[in-house]
Amino acid sequence: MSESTQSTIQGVNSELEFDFEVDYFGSFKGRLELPLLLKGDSGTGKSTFLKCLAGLVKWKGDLSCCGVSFRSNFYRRIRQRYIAYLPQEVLFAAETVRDDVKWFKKVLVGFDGKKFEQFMERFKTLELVDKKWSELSGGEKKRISLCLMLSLDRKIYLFDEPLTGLDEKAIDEFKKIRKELFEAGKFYVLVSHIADREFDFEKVVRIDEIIFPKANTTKIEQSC
Amino acid sequence: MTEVVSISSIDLLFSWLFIGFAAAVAWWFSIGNEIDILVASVRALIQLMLMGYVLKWLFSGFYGVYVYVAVALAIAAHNASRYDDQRRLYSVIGCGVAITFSVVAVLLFLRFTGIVPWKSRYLIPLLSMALSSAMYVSAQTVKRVVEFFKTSYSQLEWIMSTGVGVIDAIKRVISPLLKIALINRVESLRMVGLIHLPGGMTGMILMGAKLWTAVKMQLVIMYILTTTALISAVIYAVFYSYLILRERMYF
Repeated sequence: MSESTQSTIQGVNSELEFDFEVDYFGSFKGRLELPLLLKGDSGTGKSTFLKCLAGLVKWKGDLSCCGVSFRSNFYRRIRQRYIAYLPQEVLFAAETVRDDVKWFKKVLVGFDGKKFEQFMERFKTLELVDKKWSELSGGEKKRISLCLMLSLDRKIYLFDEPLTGLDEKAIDEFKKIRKELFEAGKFYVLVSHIADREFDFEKVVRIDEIIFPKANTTKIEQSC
Repeated sequence: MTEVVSISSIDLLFSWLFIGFAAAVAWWFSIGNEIDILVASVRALIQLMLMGYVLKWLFSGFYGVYVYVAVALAIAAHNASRYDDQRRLYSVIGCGVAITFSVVAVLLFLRFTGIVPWKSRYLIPLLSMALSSAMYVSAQTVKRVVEFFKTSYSQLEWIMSTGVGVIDAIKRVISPLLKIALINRVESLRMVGLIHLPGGMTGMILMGAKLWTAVKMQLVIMYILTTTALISAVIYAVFYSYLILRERMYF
Protein backbone atom coordinates (compact mmCIF):
# COMPACT_ATOMS: atom_id res chain seq x y z
CA MET A 1 0.00 0.00 0.00
CA SER A 2 1.36 3.43 -0.87
CA GLU A 3 2.13 5.99 1.86
CA SER A 4 -0.50 8.38 0.58
CA THR A 5 -3.26 5.79 0.77
CA GLN A 6 -2.14 4.69 4.23
CA SER A 7 -2.38 8.21 5.58
CA THR A 8 -5.86 8.65 4.11
CA ILE A 9 -7.36 5.77 6.00
CA GLN A 10 -5.84 6.65 9.39
CA GLY A 11 -8.62 7.22 11.86
CA VAL A 12 -11.31 6.15 9.44
CA ASN A 13 -13.40 3.11 10.27
CA SER A 14 -12.95 0.79 7.33
CA GLU A 15 -14.38 -2.32 8.91
CA LEU A 16 -17.05 -4.59 7.51
CA GLU A 17 -18.51 -6.72 10.29
CA PHE A 18 -21.28 -9.22 9.71
CA ASP A 19 -23.00 -12.20 11.19
CA PHE A 20 -26.19 -12.91 9.29
CA GLU A 21 -28.16 -15.70 7.71
CA VAL A 22 -29.82 -15.96 4.32
CA ASP A 23 -32.78 -18.33 4.29
CA TYR A 24 -32.02 -20.47 1.29
CA PHE A 25 -28.26 -20.15 1.35
CA GLY A 26 -26.55 -20.28 4.72
CA SER A 27 -24.84 -17.87 7.05
CA PHE A 28 -22.12 -15.29 6.50
CA LYS A 29 -19.81 -14.39 9.34
CA GLY A 30 -16.67 -12.29 9.44
CA ARG A 31 -14.82 -9.12 10.26
CA LEU A 32 -12.96 -7.69 7.30
CA GLU A 33 -11.00 -4.60 6.40
CA LEU A 34 -12.03 -2.57 3.36
CA PRO A 35 -11.17 -2.24 0.53
CA LEU A 36 -11.68 -5.88 -0.16
CA LEU A 37 -11.17 -8.23 -3.05
CA LEU A 38 -13.51 -11.19 -2.73
CA LYS A 39 -12.60 -14.33 -4.62
CA GLY A 40 -14.05 -17.79 -5.01
CA ASP A 41 -15.45 -20.32 -7.44
CA SER A 42 -18.60 -19.67 -9.44
CA GLY A 43 -21.85 -20.29 -7.58
CA THR A 44 -20.31 -20.12 -4.13
CA GLY A 45 -22.14 -17.01 -2.94
CA LYS A 46 -20.00 -13.99 -3.85
CA SER A 47 -22.81 -12.17 -5.67
CA THR A 48 -25.30 -13.16 -2.97
CA PHE A 49 -22.99 -11.64 -0.39
CA LEU A 50 -22.81 -8.35 -2.29
CA LYS A 51 -26.59 -8.34 -2.75
CA CYS A 52 -27.00 -8.88 1.01
CA LEU A 53 -24.83 -5.83 1.67
CA ALA A 54 -26.98 -3.84 -0.77
CA GLY A 55 -30.19 -5.16 0.84
CA LEU A 56 -31.27 -6.79 -2.41
CA VAL A 57 -31.42 -10.18 -0.73
CA LYS A 58 -33.06 -10.49 2.67
CA TRP A 59 -30.94 -11.56 5.61
CA LYS A 60 -31.36 -11.94 9.36
CA GLY A 61 -28.67 -10.93 11.82
CA ASP A 62 -26.17 -8.11 12.16
CA LEU A 63 -24.32 -6.13 9.58
CA SER A 64 -22.27 -2.98 9.96
CA CYS A 65 -19.96 -1.24 7.57
CA CYS A 66 -17.60 1.69 8.20
CA GLY A 67 -19.25 2.24 11.57
CA VAL A 68 -22.80 2.29 10.15
CA SER A 69 -25.24 -0.34 11.29
CA PHE A 70 -27.29 -1.62 8.33
CA ARG A 71 -30.79 -2.19 9.58
CA SER A 72 -33.33 -3.83 7.34
CA ASN A 73 -36.01 -1.17 7.74
CA PHE A 74 -33.72 1.69 6.70
CA TYR A 75 -32.37 0.29 3.50
CA ARG A 76 -33.58 2.99 1.17
CA ARG A 77 -31.71 5.58 3.23
CA ILE A 78 -28.67 3.30 3.43
CA ARG A 79 -28.63 3.01 -0.37
CA GLN A 80 -29.08 6.74 -0.79
CA ARG A 81 -26.22 7.61 1.55
CA TYR A 82 -23.78 4.75 1.74
CA ILE A 83 -24.05 2.13 -0.96
CA ALA A 84 -23.61 1.97 -4.71
CA TYR A 85 -23.87 -1.43 -6.38
CA LEU A 86 -22.80 -2.66 -9.78
CA PRO A 87 -24.21 -6.06 -10.78
CA GLN A 88 -22.47 -8.40 -13.20
CA GLU A 89 -24.84 -7.41 -15.97
CA VAL A 90 -26.97 -4.29 -16.04
CA LEU A 91 -30.27 -4.26 -17.91
CA PHE A 92 -31.53 -0.81 -18.82
CA ALA A 93 -35.13 0.32 -19.05
CA ALA A 94 -34.86 3.19 -21.53
CA GLU A 95 -34.11 3.07 -25.22
CA THR A 96 -30.96 5.19 -25.22
CA VAL A 97 -28.23 6.02 -22.72
CA ARG A 98 -29.33 9.68 -22.65
CA ASP A 99 -32.93 8.70 -21.73
CA ASP A 100 -31.71 6.63 -18.81
CA VAL A 101 -29.34 9.33 -17.58
CA LYS A 102 -32.12 11.93 -17.79
CA TRP A 103 -34.32 9.73 -15.64
CA PHE A 104 -31.58 9.06 -13.10
CA LYS A 105 -30.92 12.79 -12.83
CA LYS A 106 -34.60 13.34 -12.09
CA VAL A 107 -35.14 10.71 -9.42
CA LEU A 108 -31.77 9.84 -7.90
CA VAL A 109 -30.43 11.38 -4.75
CA GLY A 110 -26.72 12.18 -5.09
CA PHE A 111 -26.45 11.56 -8.82
CA ASP A 112 -23.89 13.99 -10.19
CA GLY A 113 -24.42 14.70 -13.90
CA LYS A 114 -21.06 16.48 -14.30
CA LYS A 115 -19.24 13.64 -12.63
CA PHE A 116 -21.03 11.23 -14.94
CA GLU A 117 -19.78 13.12 -17.99
CA GLN A 118 -16.24 13.11 -16.60
CA PHE A 119 -16.34 9.34 -16.09
CA MET A 120 -17.87 8.90 -19.56
CA GLU A 121 -14.92 10.83 -20.96
CA ARG A 122 -12.41 8.76 -19.01
CA PHE A 123 -13.99 5.52 -20.20
CA LYS A 124 -14.27 6.87 -23.77
CA THR A 125 -18.02 6.43 -23.90
CA LEU A 126 -19.24 10.01 -24.42
CA GLU A 127 -19.98 9.39 -28.09
CA LEU A 128 -22.29 6.49 -27.16
CA VAL A 129 -24.73 8.65 -25.24
CA ASP A 130 -27.32 8.87 -28.04
CA LYS A 131 -27.02 5.25 -29.09
CA LYS A 132 -29.66 2.66 -28.32
CA TRP A 133 -28.77 0.16 -25.63
CA SER A 134 -29.53 -2.64 -28.06
CA GLU A 135 -26.80 -1.35 -30.40
CA LEU A 136 -24.08 -1.40 -27.73
CA SER A 137 -21.67 -4.24 -27.06
CA GLY A 138 -21.39 -5.91 -23.65
CA GLY A 139 -18.16 -4.02 -22.91
CA GLU A 140 -19.68 -0.65 -23.83
CA LYS A 141 -22.70 -1.32 -21.62
CA LYS A 142 -20.37 -2.30 -18.80
CA ARG A 143 -18.35 0.91 -19.11
CA ILE A 144 -21.48 3.07 -19.11
CA SER A 145 -22.98 1.26 -16.14
CA LEU A 146 -19.68 1.77 -14.30
CA CYS A 147 -19.89 5.51 -15.08
CA LEU A 148 -23.47 5.65 -13.78
CA MET A 149 -22.55 3.82 -10.61
CA LEU A 150 -19.44 5.88 -9.94
CA SER A 151 -21.43 9.11 -10.39
CA LEU A 152 -23.38 8.27 -7.25
CA ASP A 153 -21.92 10.00 -4.25
CA ARG A 154 -21.72 7.08 -1.81
CA LYS A 155 -19.40 5.82 0.90
CA ILE A 156 -19.13 2.16 -0.12
CA TYR A 157 -19.05 0.79 -3.66
CA LEU A 158 -19.92 -2.82 -4.36
CA PHE A 159 -18.54 -4.10 -7.66
CA ASP A 160 -19.61 -7.50 -8.94
CA GLU A 161 -17.15 -8.58 -11.65
CA PRO A 162 -16.56 -5.00 -12.88
CA LEU A 163 -13.76 -5.96 -15.24
CA THR A 164 -15.61 -8.60 -17.23
CA GLY A 165 -15.95 -7.41 -20.81
CA LEU A 166 -13.61 -4.44 -20.36
CA ASP A 167 -10.61 -3.91 -22.63
CA GLU A 168 -7.13 -3.26 -21.22
CA LYS A 169 -7.45 0.54 -21.35
CA ALA A 170 -10.73 0.45 -19.47
CA ILE A 171 -9.26 -1.95 -16.89
CA ASP A 172 -6.34 0.45 -16.33
CA GLU A 173 -8.81 3.32 -15.94
CA PHE A 174 -10.83 1.32 -13.44
CA LYS A 175 -7.70 0.53 -11.43
CA LYS A 176 -6.89 4.25 -11.27
CA ILE A 177 -10.45 5.11 -10.23
CA ARG A 178 -10.61 2.58 -7.42
CA LYS A 179 -7.40 4.07 -6.06
CA GLU A 180 -8.87 7.58 -6.29
CA LEU A 181 -11.98 6.39 -4.46
CA PHE A 182 -9.86 4.98 -1.69
CA GLU A 183 -7.81 8.16 -1.41
CA ALA A 184 -11.04 10.14 -1.18
CA GLY A 185 -11.96 8.11 1.93
CA LYS A 186 -14.39 5.80 0.14
CA PHE A 187 -14.38 2.04 0.34
CA TYR A 188 -15.33 -0.84 -1.84
CA VAL A 189 -15.85 -4.56 -2.07
CA LEU A 190 -14.75 -6.03 -5.34
CA VAL A 191 -15.74 -9.44 -6.62
CA SER A 192 -13.42 -10.48 -9.40
CA HIS A 193 -11.89 -13.50 -11.07
CA ILE A 194 -8.91 -11.40 -12.17
CA ALA A 195 -5.60 -12.46 -10.57
CA ASP A 196 -4.72 -10.94 -7.17
CA ARG A 197 -1.65 -9.18 -8.59
CA GLU A 198 -3.93 -6.86 -10.57
CA PHE A 199 -4.96 -5.29 -7.27
CA ASP A 200 -2.14 -4.16 -5.05
CA PHE A 201 -3.66 -2.80 -1.87
CA GLU A 202 -6.97 -4.64 -1.36
CA LYS A 203 -7.30 -7.32 1.27
CA VAL A 204 -7.92 -10.58 -0.54
CA VAL A 205 -10.50 -12.89 1.03
CA ARG A 206 -11.90 -16.15 -0.27
CA ILE A 207 -15.67 -16.49 -0.02
CA ASP A 208 -15.39 -19.89 1.72
CA GLU A 209 -13.66 -18.15 4.66
CA ILE A 210 -16.81 -16.18 5.44
CA ILE A 211 -19.68 -18.41 4.34
CA PHE A 212 -21.15 -21.29 6.26
CA PRO A 213 -23.60 -23.01 3.90
CA LYS A 214 -26.79 -24.59 5.20
CA ALA A 215 -26.80 -28.36 5.44
CA ASN A 216 -28.77 -30.25 2.75
CA THR A 217 -28.59 -27.47 0.20
CA THR A 218 -27.56 -27.88 -3.37
CA LYS A 219 -24.91 -25.20 -2.87
CA ILE A 220 -23.08 -27.48 -0.43
CA GLU A 221 -23.32 -30.37 -2.82
CA GLN A 222 -21.84 -28.17 -5.52
CA SER A 223 -18.98 -26.95 -3.38
CA CYS A 224 -18.22 -30.50 -2.21
CA MET B 1 -91.26 -2.62 -35.94
CA THR B 2 -87.99 -4.34 -35.20
CA GLU B 3 -87.39 -7.61 -36.96
CA VAL B 4 -86.17 -10.45 -34.74
CA VAL B 5 -83.82 -12.88 -36.48
CA SER B 6 -84.22 -16.39 -35.18
CA ILE B 7 -81.22 -18.71 -35.30
CA SER B 8 -82.04 -22.40 -35.47
CA SER B 9 -80.08 -25.12 -33.68
CA ILE B 10 -78.75 -26.25 -37.07
CA ASP B 11 -77.45 -22.69 -37.67
CA LEU B 12 -75.76 -22.85 -34.30
CA LEU B 13 -74.20 -26.16 -35.20
CA PHE B 14 -72.85 -24.64 -38.42
CA SER B 15 -71.33 -21.75 -36.51
CA TRP B 16 -69.76 -24.27 -34.14
CA LEU B 17 -68.19 -25.92 -37.18
CA PHE B 18 -66.77 -22.49 -38.00
CA ILE B 19 -65.00 -22.31 -34.65
CA GLY B 20 -64.04 -25.96 -35.12
CA PHE B 21 -62.20 -24.76 -38.23
CA ALA B 22 -60.35 -22.19 -36.07
CA ALA B 23 -59.36 -24.99 -33.67
CA ALA B 24 -58.15 -27.09 -36.61
CA VAL B 25 -55.97 -24.20 -37.81
CA ALA B 26 -54.60 -23.80 -34.26
CA TRP B 27 -53.80 -27.54 -34.18
CA TRP B 28 -52.19 -27.48 -37.65
CA PHE B 29 -50.11 -24.45 -36.72
CA SER B 30 -49.09 -26.06 -33.38
CA ILE B 31 -50.35 -23.03 -31.44
CA GLY B 32 -51.37 -25.47 -28.72
CA ASN B 33 -54.69 -23.88 -27.75
CA GLU B 34 -57.09 -25.92 -29.90
CA ILE B 35 -58.51 -27.80 -26.88
CA ASP B 36 -58.95 -24.47 -25.06
CA ILE B 37 -60.88 -23.06 -28.03
CA LEU B 38 -63.20 -26.07 -28.25
CA VAL B 39 -63.81 -26.27 -24.50
CA ALA B 40 -64.38 -22.50 -24.32
CA SER B 41 -66.89 -22.63 -27.17
CA VAL B 42 -68.97 -25.25 -25.34
CA ARG B 43 -68.55 -23.44 -22.02
CA ALA B 44 -69.76 -20.22 -23.61
CA LEU B 45 -73.03 -21.92 -24.59
CA ILE B 46 -73.66 -23.20 -21.05
CA GLN B 47 -72.56 -19.91 -19.45
CA LEU B 48 -74.81 -17.81 -21.68
CA MET B 49 -77.84 -20.04 -21.02
CA LEU B 50 -77.27 -19.85 -17.28
CA MET B 51 -76.60 -16.11 -17.45
CA GLY B 52 -79.89 -15.62 -19.29
CA TYR B 53 -81.79 -17.11 -16.35
CA VAL B 54 -79.68 -15.18 -13.86
CA LEU B 55 -80.24 -11.90 -15.72
CA LYS B 56 -84.01 -12.33 -15.52
CA TRP B 57 -83.66 -12.68 -11.76
CA LEU B 58 -81.12 -9.86 -11.43
CA PHE B 59 -83.24 -7.37 -13.36
CA SER B 60 -86.22 -8.08 -11.11
CA GLY B 61 -84.70 -6.11 -8.15
CA PHE B 62 -81.86 -3.67 -7.44
CA TYR B 63 -79.82 -5.85 -5.05
CA GLY B 64 -79.09 -8.05 -8.03
CA VAL B 65 -76.45 -5.51 -9.04
CA TYR B 66 -74.42 -6.17 -5.89
CA VAL B 67 -74.79 -9.93 -6.20
CA TYR B 68 -73.71 -9.75 -9.82
CA VAL B 69 -70.71 -7.51 -9.10
CA ALA B 70 -69.51 -9.70 -6.20
CA VAL B 71 -69.73 -12.97 -8.14
CA ALA B 72 -68.33 -11.50 -11.36
CA LEU B 73 -65.42 -9.88 -9.47
CA ALA B 74 -64.39 -13.18 -7.90
CA ILE B 75 -64.54 -14.98 -11.24
CA ALA B 76 -62.73 -12.16 -13.05
CA ALA B 77 -59.91 -12.03 -10.47
CA HIS B 78 -59.49 -15.80 -10.56
CA ASN B 79 -59.52 -15.92 -14.33
CA ALA B 80 -57.21 -12.95 -14.95
CA SER B 81 -54.59 -14.37 -12.57
CA ARG B 82 -54.32 -17.74 -14.27
CA TYR B 83 -51.29 -16.65 -16.30
CA ASP B 84 -49.26 -16.44 -13.12
CA ASP B 85 -47.40 -19.67 -12.47
CA GLN B 86 -45.07 -18.08 -9.91
CA ARG B 87 -47.08 -16.37 -7.17
CA ARG B 88 -50.69 -17.12 -8.07
CA LEU B 89 -52.04 -15.90 -4.72
CA TYR B 90 -50.43 -12.49 -5.21
CA SER B 91 -52.00 -12.27 -8.65
CA VAL B 92 -55.47 -13.31 -7.43
CA ILE B 93 -55.31 -10.64 -4.72
CA GLY B 94 -53.76 -8.10 -7.10
CA CYS B 95 -56.38 -8.66 -9.81
CA GLY B 96 -59.14 -8.66 -7.19
CA VAL B 97 -58.01 -5.31 -5.80
CA ALA B 98 -57.42 -3.84 -9.28
CA ILE B 99 -60.73 -4.91 -10.81
CA THR B 100 -62.69 -3.99 -7.68
CA PHE B 101 -61.15 -0.54 -7.65
CA SER B 102 -61.96 0.07 -11.31
CA VAL B 103 -65.56 -1.16 -10.93
CA VAL B 104 -66.09 0.97 -7.82
CA ALA B 105 -64.73 3.94 -9.78
CA VAL B 106 -67.27 3.27 -12.54
CA LEU B 107 -70.12 2.93 -10.02
CA LEU B 108 -69.18 6.21 -8.34
CA PHE B 109 -68.87 7.92 -11.71
CA LEU B 110 -72.30 6.70 -12.80
CA ARG B 111 -73.85 7.53 -9.43
CA PHE B 112 -72.59 11.11 -9.33
CA THR B 113 -73.04 11.99 -12.98
CA GLY B 114 -76.41 10.26 -13.34
CA ILE B 115 -75.57 9.39 -16.95
CA VAL B 116 -77.75 6.29 -16.80
CA PRO B 117 -80.70 5.67 -14.46
CA TRP B 118 -79.61 4.00 -11.21
CA LYS B 119 -81.43 0.79 -12.05
CA SER B 120 -80.10 -2.72 -12.38
CA ARG B 121 -81.23 -3.12 -15.99
CA TYR B 122 -78.95 -0.23 -17.03
CA LEU B 123 -76.15 -0.75 -14.55
CA ILE B 124 -75.56 -4.47 -15.02
CA PRO B 125 -74.78 -4.34 -18.76
CA LEU B 126 -72.44 -1.37 -18.23
CA LEU B 127 -70.73 -3.00 -15.27
CA SER B 128 -70.35 -6.26 -17.13
CA MET B 129 -68.57 -4.45 -19.96
CA ALA B 130 -66.35 -2.60 -17.49
CA LEU B 131 -65.57 -5.82 -15.63
CA SER B 132 -64.68 -7.76 -18.72
CA SER B 133 -62.52 -4.92 -20.03
CA ALA B 134 -60.69 -4.75 -16.69
CA MET B 135 -60.34 -8.54 -16.65
CA TYR B 136 -58.91 -8.85 -20.16
CA VAL B 137 -56.36 -6.11 -19.61
CA SER B 138 -55.49 -7.47 -16.17
CA ALA B 139 -54.85 -10.88 -17.71
CA GLN B 140 -52.57 -9.27 -20.32
CA THR B 141 -50.80 -7.37 -17.56
CA VAL B 142 -50.41 -10.50 -15.39
CA LYS B 143 -48.78 -12.31 -18.28
CA ARG B 144 -46.32 -9.52 -19.00
CA VAL B 145 -45.48 -8.62 -15.42
CA VAL B 146 -44.90 -12.26 -14.42
CA GLU B 147 -42.71 -12.72 -17.49
CA PHE B 148 -40.77 -9.59 -16.53
CA PHE B 149 -40.06 -10.94 -13.05
CA LYS B 150 -38.89 -14.22 -14.56
CA THR B 151 -36.54 -12.76 -17.14
CA SER B 152 -35.65 -9.16 -16.30
CA TYR B 153 -35.92 -8.89 -12.51
CA SER B 154 -32.25 -7.82 -12.31
CA GLN B 155 -33.24 -4.56 -14.05
CA LEU B 156 -35.51 -3.65 -11.16
CA GLU B 157 -32.95 -4.92 -8.66
CA TRP B 158 -30.30 -2.59 -10.05
CA ILE B 159 -32.61 0.42 -10.12
CA MET B 160 -33.58 -0.26 -6.51
CA SER B 161 -29.91 -0.58 -5.54
CA THR B 162 -29.31 3.03 -6.58
CA GLY B 163 -31.63 4.30 -3.85
CA VAL B 164 -34.62 5.13 -6.06
CA GLY B 165 -37.99 4.91 -4.30
CA VAL B 166 -39.93 1.70 -4.80
CA ILE B 167 -42.83 3.29 -6.70
CA ASP B 168 -40.49 5.21 -9.01
CA ALA B 169 -38.55 2.01 -9.71
CA ILE B 170 -41.71 0.00 -10.40
CA LYS B 171 -43.08 2.76 -12.65
CA ARG B 172 -39.82 2.81 -14.56
CA VAL B 173 -39.80 -0.86 -15.50
CA ILE B 174 -43.52 -1.57 -15.63
CA SER B 175 -44.74 1.32 -17.80
CA PRO B 176 -43.50 -0.17 -21.11
CA LEU B 177 -45.26 -3.44 -20.23
CA LEU B 178 -48.50 -1.59 -19.48
CA LYS B 179 -48.31 0.20 -22.80
CA ILE B 180 -48.25 -3.17 -24.58
CA ALA B 181 -50.99 -4.64 -22.36
CA LEU B 182 -53.25 -1.66 -23.19
CA ILE B 183 -52.69 -1.66 -26.95
CA ASN B 184 -56.00 -3.44 -27.71
CA ARG B 185 -58.02 -1.08 -25.58
CA VAL B 186 -56.44 2.11 -26.89
CA GLU B 187 -56.54 0.93 -30.51
CA SER B 188 -60.18 0.02 -30.11
CA LEU B 189 -60.92 3.57 -28.89
CA ARG B 190 -58.85 5.06 -31.70
CA MET B 191 -60.42 3.00 -34.47
CA VAL B 192 -64.01 2.94 -33.27
CA GLY B 193 -66.37 3.74 -36.12
CA LEU B 194 -63.69 3.11 -38.74
CA ILE B 195 -63.07 -0.60 -38.50
CA HIS B 196 -64.85 -1.60 -35.35
CA LEU B 197 -68.62 -0.97 -35.38
CA PRO B 198 -69.68 -1.01 -31.75
CA GLY B 199 -72.58 -3.35 -30.99
CA GLY B 200 -74.29 -1.05 -28.51
CA MET B 201 -74.52 1.91 -30.87
CA THR B 202 -75.47 -0.23 -33.87
CA GLY B 203 -78.22 -1.90 -31.83
CA MET B 204 -79.58 1.44 -30.63
CA ILE B 205 -79.72 2.85 -34.18
CA LEU B 206 -81.42 -0.30 -35.44
CA MET B 207 -83.94 0.00 -32.62
CA GLY B 208 -84.79 3.50 -33.83
CA ALA B 209 -82.82 5.67 -31.40
CA LYS B 210 -81.53 9.05 -32.56
CA LEU B 211 -78.01 8.95 -33.99
CA TRP B 212 -76.57 11.51 -31.55
CA THR B 213 -78.09 9.63 -28.58
CA ALA B 214 -76.55 6.37 -29.77
CA VAL B 215 -73.17 8.01 -30.37
CA LYS B 216 -73.16 9.63 -26.91
CA MET B 217 -73.99 6.33 -25.22
CA GLN B 218 -71.29 4.52 -27.18
CA LEU B 219 -68.73 7.16 -26.26
CA VAL B 220 -69.59 6.86 -22.57
CA ILE B 221 -69.15 3.10 -22.86
CA MET B 222 -65.81 3.40 -24.67
CA TYR B 223 -64.46 5.92 -22.15
CA ILE B 224 -65.55 3.70 -19.26
CA LEU B 225 -63.91 0.65 -20.84
CA THR B 226 -60.62 2.43 -21.49
CA THR B 227 -60.49 3.95 -18.02
CA THR B 228 -61.29 0.70 -16.22
CA ALA B 229 -58.69 -1.12 -18.30
CA LEU B 230 -55.99 1.41 -17.48
CA ILE B 231 -56.84 1.68 -13.78
CA SER B 232 -56.90 -2.07 -13.27
CA ALA B 233 -53.67 -2.62 -15.21
CA VAL B 234 -51.78 0.02 -13.22
CA ILE B 235 -53.10 -1.12 -9.85
CA TYR B 236 -52.36 -4.78 -10.54
CA ALA B 237 -48.84 -4.09 -11.81
CA VAL B 238 -47.88 -1.87 -8.87
CA PHE B 239 -49.52 -4.12 -6.28
CA TYR B 240 -47.94 -7.32 -7.59
CA SER B 241 -44.48 -5.81 -8.09
CA TYR B 242 -44.59 -4.30 -4.60
CA LEU B 243 -45.44 -7.67 -3.04
CA ILE B 244 -42.68 -9.46 -4.93
CA LEU B 245 -40.10 -6.82 -3.99
CA ARG B 246 -41.24 -6.92 -0.38
CA GLU B 247 -40.71 -10.67 -0.38
CA ARG B 248 -37.25 -10.51 -1.92
CA MET B 249 -35.49 -7.35 -0.74
CA TYR B 250 -35.39 -4.54 1.82
CA PHE B 251 -36.51 -1.03 0.98
